[in-house]
Parts: sequence; C-alpha cells; structure tokens
Amino acid sequence: MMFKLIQSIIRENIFQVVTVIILLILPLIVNQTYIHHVLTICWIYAIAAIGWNVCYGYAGLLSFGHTAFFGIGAYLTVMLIRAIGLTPWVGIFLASILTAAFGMGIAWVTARTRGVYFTLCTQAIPPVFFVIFTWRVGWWGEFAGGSYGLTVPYRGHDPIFMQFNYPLPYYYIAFGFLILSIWIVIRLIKSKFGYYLRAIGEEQDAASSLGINILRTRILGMGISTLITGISGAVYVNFLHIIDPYEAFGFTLNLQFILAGMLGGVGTIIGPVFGALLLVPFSEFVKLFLEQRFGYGLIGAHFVLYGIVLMFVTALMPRGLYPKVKETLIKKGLIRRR
Amino acid sequence: MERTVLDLREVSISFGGLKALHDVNLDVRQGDILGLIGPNGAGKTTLFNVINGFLQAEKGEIILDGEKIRGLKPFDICRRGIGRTFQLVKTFNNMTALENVVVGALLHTDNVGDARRRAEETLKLVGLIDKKDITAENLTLMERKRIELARALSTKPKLLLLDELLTGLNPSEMDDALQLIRDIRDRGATICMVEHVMRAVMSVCNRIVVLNFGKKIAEGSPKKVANDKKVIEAYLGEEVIAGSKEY
Amino acid sequence: MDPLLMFQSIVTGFLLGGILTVMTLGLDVIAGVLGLVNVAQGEFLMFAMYAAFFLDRLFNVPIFAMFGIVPLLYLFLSIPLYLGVYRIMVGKPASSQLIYTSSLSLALQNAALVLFLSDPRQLYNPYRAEAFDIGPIQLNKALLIAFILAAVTSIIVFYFLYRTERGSVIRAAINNRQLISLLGIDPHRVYLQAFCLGIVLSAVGGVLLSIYYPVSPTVGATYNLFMWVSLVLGGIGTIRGCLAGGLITGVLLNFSAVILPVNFRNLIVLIIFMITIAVRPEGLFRK
Repeated sequence: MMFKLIQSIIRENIFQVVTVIILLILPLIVNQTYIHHVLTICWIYAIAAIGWNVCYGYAGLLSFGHTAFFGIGAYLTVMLIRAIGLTPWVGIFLASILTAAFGMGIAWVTARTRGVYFTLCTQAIPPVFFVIFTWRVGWWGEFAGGSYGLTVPYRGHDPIFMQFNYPLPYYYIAFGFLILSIWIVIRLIKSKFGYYLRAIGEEQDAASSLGINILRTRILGMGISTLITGISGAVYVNFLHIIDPYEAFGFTLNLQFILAGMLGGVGTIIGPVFGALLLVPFSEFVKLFLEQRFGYGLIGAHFVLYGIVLMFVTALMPRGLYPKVKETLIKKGLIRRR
Repeated sequence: MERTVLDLREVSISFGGLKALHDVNLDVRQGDILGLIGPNGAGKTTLFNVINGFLQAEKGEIILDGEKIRGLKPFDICRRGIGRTFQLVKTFNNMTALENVVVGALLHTDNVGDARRRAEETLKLVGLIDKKDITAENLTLMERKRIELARALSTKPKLLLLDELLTGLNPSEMDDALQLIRDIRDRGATICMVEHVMRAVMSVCNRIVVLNFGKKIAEGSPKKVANDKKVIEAYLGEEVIAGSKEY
Repeated sequence: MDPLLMFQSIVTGFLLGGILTVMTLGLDVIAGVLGLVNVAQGEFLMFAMYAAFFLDRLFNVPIFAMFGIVPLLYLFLSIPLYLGVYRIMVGKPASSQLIYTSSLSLALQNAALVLFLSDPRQLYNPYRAEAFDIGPIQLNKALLIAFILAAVTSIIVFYFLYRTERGSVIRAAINNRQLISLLGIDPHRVYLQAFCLGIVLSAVGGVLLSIYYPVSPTVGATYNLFMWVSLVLGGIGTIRGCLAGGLITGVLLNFSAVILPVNFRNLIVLIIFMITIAVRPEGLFRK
C-alpha cells in the first residue's frame, strides 16, 4: 500500500524527482571542489530566500530585515557549540527554532503596522542585532566575539561535529536542508494556515471579514519564515565555520536574499531556488572578473550591478522569472498545474 | 414571531466634526432581504463598516442574534455570523476561484479536504463550478462578484451584508444576480444589501431602509418607501427614483 | 547627568533639526504627491554633499554660492531622473516601489564607494570650530549658518507652496491625486514638478549638512532613517508637519546621543518610529 503511494507520488512529480536525482549525482560527476563550494552556497542562499519569500510572497509582508535572522541562526548555532558542545546536527535545529522564537517576538510588535511601515521597521532590525551581538561588555563580549564575529572551533575531520576536509558532504547537507525547507513550505501551502496566510497577503480586509485573525496569522507566518531563514544561517556557519557580524547584519546580504526571491519568483515554492541558482554563480563570476581586471580597487562595484538588475526585475517582472518558466514547463506538459 | 437577526440601536459615529451616522435604529429579521438605500454619502457603507467591525461606533448597540458585538474585531464578528461582500471587489486575485471560497469554508473546519468539498458546493450554488480552477484575476467582474458571494456564504453567516453587489453589471447579469440573491434567501439566509440600482432594490427587497446624512429617514415596504415624500426629496435631481415609480 | 550638557544638546539638536526639516520636506513632497516611497532620497543627499565637498576642494567655491549651484544642478538632473528612472514606478504597489528604490539606493551607495572610497570627507569651513557664546550655551557658527539657511529655504518653500498657483496645485495633489486630473491638469506634469522640488530640497539639505558634517558613502542611509522618523512624526503629506517632525527629531536624536551610548541610536529610532505608528500613525499634524 505504502509502496503504491510512493509510486504514484513519483509518477505525478516525475520532473521534480528527476531534477532532484540529477542534483544529487551532479557533484559526483563534476568533481571539482570549487563547484561544490559554489553550489553549496547556492543552496544556502536558496533556503534563506525561501524563508524570505514565505513572508513576502505569501503573507505579503515585505521584510528588509531577514538577514538578521540569518545572523541569529548562525550565531546561536556557534554559541551552542561553544557553550555546551552541542553538535551542529542537533544545534542547527535548535538554533533555528530559537530564531523563529525571536522572529515571532519581533513580529508581535512590528506586525501591527501596515504595509510600508512594516518594511521600514524591519529595516531597523539588523542594526539592532548587530549592536547586540557585537556588544563588548563583560562575559558576553567574549562569548559573542565582538566585532570580529565568531568562529567554530576547528576539529579537523570530525563528522560528528559536521566538520569535513572537503566540501562535498556540505553540499549534501545543505541540499538536504533545502529539501527540508521546500517540504515545510509545501506542507504549509496545503494547510489551513497556508490558505489563511495567503489570504492576508492578498486582501486583508476580505480576510478579516472571513474570520481570519490578521495579527496572529502574521506572527505565525513570520515564525515559519524566520525559522527557515534561521536554518540557512545555521547551515552557513557550519560550512564556512565563521560568522562576521558586518556581513550577517548588513544590508547587502539582505538585498541578495531579496534579489534571489524576486528574480526567482515571488509566491512560488521553487522560485527562490531558481533565483539563488542564478544569483550566486553570477555574483562569483562578477567578483572574480572585477578582481582580475581591476584588482581590489572596485570593491562594491558588483553591488551597483545588483542594484540595477533588481531595479529592472522589479519594474518589468514584479512576480519574478520563475512564473514564466513554470508556464512554459506546464505548456510542454512536463509538470502539472496545481 | 420573526426572529431579529440584527438589531441596531442609536448607532452613531463621527469623523472629525462630521457625524457620519446619527442615532441609527434598524433591525433585520430572519429571512429578510433588507435594502439599504440613500443618496451618495448618506452613510450606507459606513454603516456596514460599523456592523462589520472595521469602524467602531461611538454610541449605540449592535446586537447580532441576541449578542452584543459592538467593539469586536472584524474576524470575531465574522465568527459570530456576519458575512460580507465589498463595493470594490476584493477577491484573492492570485488564488483560484475554488481557493478563494476554501478560505471562507475553513472557518468551520480545520480539514482542507472538507473545506474544498464545501467550497465546491457553494460554487455550484453561485454557478461558478466550471471555473473553479481559474485564477481570480483572470475572471470577469461578474464572476469575481460571484466568488465574493460564495466566499462569504461558505462562512455560514447568520447575516449576509452585500455592498453594492450590482454596481457595474449589465441588465442580464443583474437579473442573474437578483435571482441568485433570492435563491440564497430561500435557502434560509438573511440578507441586507446596500444598493444604488433602484429597480433592483424595489424588485428583490421585502423591506427598505433609507438613509440620508447619516440618519434614517424612511422605512417600510418598497411601495411605501418609493412614495415617501422625504425619500423623493432626498433624491431630488437623481433620476433613479423615477424608474421605481413602476412599482 | 549634567543639565547644562543636556540643554546644550537640545539646542544643538534644534539647529540640526532645522536642516532635517528641509531634507524631510523633499521626501514628504515626493511621498505625498507621487505616493512614492523614495528610499534613495538619502543617497541624493549624499551626492549633494560630495558635490559641495568637491566644489570647495577643487574650485574654492564659497558656501553661499554652493547653496545656489548644487540645487540648480540637481534641478537639471531631476528631470531625466524622473522620466527615465522614477516615472515607471508611479502607481505601482508600495512593495515594488520599496524594492526598486532600495536597489537604487544600494547601487548609488556602492557607486559612491567605488568613486570616492570610504574615507569621510569634510568640507573646509573655518566656522566649524567657532561658536557664539550665549551665556553658558554655545551656538556653533557653522551649524547656525546652516540653520539660518535652512530657515530661509523653508520660508521660500512655504511661500511657493502656499502662495503660488503651481505650489497650491502640488499641495492639492498631496491630499488627493485624482483631484488634479479632474481639474484638467495633467497629473504627470504635477508629479514631475513635485519630484523636482523634492530632489532640489535634498540637494539643499546636502549642502547644508556638509557645512558641518563630513560625508562618506553611507551617510545617505543614516540620514534617510532620520528623515523617515521626522516624516512619520510630522505626518506624511503635511507640510507643517515636516517642520515639527524635523525639529523634534533633531532634538530627540541629539539628546539621546548624549545620554545613551552611540550604538543605541538605531534602537531609539526604531522605538520612536514604532511608538508613533502605534499611537498616532497619521503623525502629529495630520489634517
């Protein structure tokens, strides 16, 4: 019975299954550590973008502060390792849940505001956490690493603590968490809460006239959104083994998540993955190109490019690239319309 | 003895110095199709917004089926049994017709499957079942109004508030809509509708309340109201009342 | 806490507030008339500061001349800026506008970083080190000059908006965008005029700021935040509100910088912001 169920699921989603299988064996075929590294970063950004998208694409809340949750997820995981020696295999989950708690707490305050004001409020969140995590006072100053950030204590090759000598296992770990995040979003969309969340994102007045508690739905929605973004930060720090507060709580990372989400597809599940797959290799390429051609004199130049690209995307394709791709795929009968 | 579904007593609200509603007394009885009419700016939609919870009445009582609901939030009011459509149609445009109605149906169940079944039944009722999987933004105005209606109906309301449902419809669409309203009433619903289209109001409502400048100026059967001097004066210059003379 | 120090910080804050008022007016006009949230306003301010700096460094232009040159330059640039970059976003949903202007803001910030590097640049101004002493309170001369110029600008802008026909149309448009097309006036012309006004005011604000403060690529973001607080406090779409909002914000910010560690500034700003939105979202002066 179970076997038949799995069989039918596979048959209905054959395109997706094939894609996943390809992505699973890809790193074995293209066995270059640099490619593994870049793709792992892709998956991590994709997770963060998926989290951001739950907030914007579904709940209709534009957040300019999601990078804060990325940072919190990362910091908490490292702190758990340092404080109680908790292995990241558990730590990632714990840190993400804690991040979600923070997210919901913040949402409890900010989700009362409307539209533009919400976004402006979220913009102030990363700097606040920057201050918190770099505060040099007493034991906390030591523990949180101040403005230098935190590093994961080096253990050499130690799978129990998620440390490997080569990027390949990280690829699978990040990919695994990506699948997990996607699964969370799929379950969300099909659930009652998912319907309510999308309703408040579409038309608030109508939603409240249908019995939906706007504030509560927003808070829970933010919880899930920040959970996922927290996961991405936690995985990130266990890959690169360092977290820098300037990067984590700066606006540029924020923009990259937004760019991935917008580019890929707002309000779709796979869209942000698409966006991350476009964005990360492109940004690597641009960075390398600029370094080779102009040395380090052009720091920041690639952000000028991102800004311009995002402007074009927002103006011309406000719902992103992926919806168009999806339509084409549906027309060619590769995936079914849901 | 008819049950009073909604009882408004001395309901008042002002904006700045302007009294938008002034001691409005109104009741809606079980099985009514109550028409709420009045010139532009008379306070009709404001009244709906007050009943619905979007605005807070400063004075007076709003009693739904015996329960006081003044001061409650809109979602609470819906849960107690008021459903509503909007002047400017507010369908969830990126969701399909079915999904729109499912959101309404989920008020009474946690199971999405059950909600879908209920939603499909309601869509059949409003005649939109073959378009159930089409995204709302791709449907016509009339179809989206049907979605709004179905969506509000699926919350199993004690009272259905229709805010200018007929605006923007051509005559044949309007007849369909009026028949739909009658069908819904025959199935046990109680309806209060704000309308500008006089012939529609006269033909489908069993009682009418007329507002002007935030006050109730007339109440009664369509015929009585159409011949009321105060009502005619209020609409002086507006041609709509002329058409209602047929009734 | 030394009460004298506190009072001094309030006075200085008040002077700063005057400059904020001018800056905020620019943002207000654009937000009120075009309905457009311009996150990049701070960056226009920043480039104006750089313009002032280079005019001083390269051509030794005196301040009063700069006060006329930079805004004029911005006036010319604002027209293609509107037509080429901003027009497309009018009427689009707020979230698109936010992302769009934020991206522009980021692009401009980094363009400045590439062009000018991250070192702060300061205009040479002998008055920065001098102050008038009024009893125990010091009024920094440079800041005072900036405040006076800000006041002059505000008066000019108020005159324009309240006494001229064009200005009245702009004011009317703030409250009701549909109204102007009903009056037979092409709304896009009004948008253009309002936009130009907003941009020119950011230029003035920039020049005024550079009299006293240094410029670096990131100051735009900082002042953007301050402008938004002023705007929210005063009320989006009110002209008089900007005056109150700017002055109050200037005082609050300066005061809190004195009694709290500098790091807390963002927290303070966030709190002011949220309290205002929660308690009185229309601002203090909404009609």
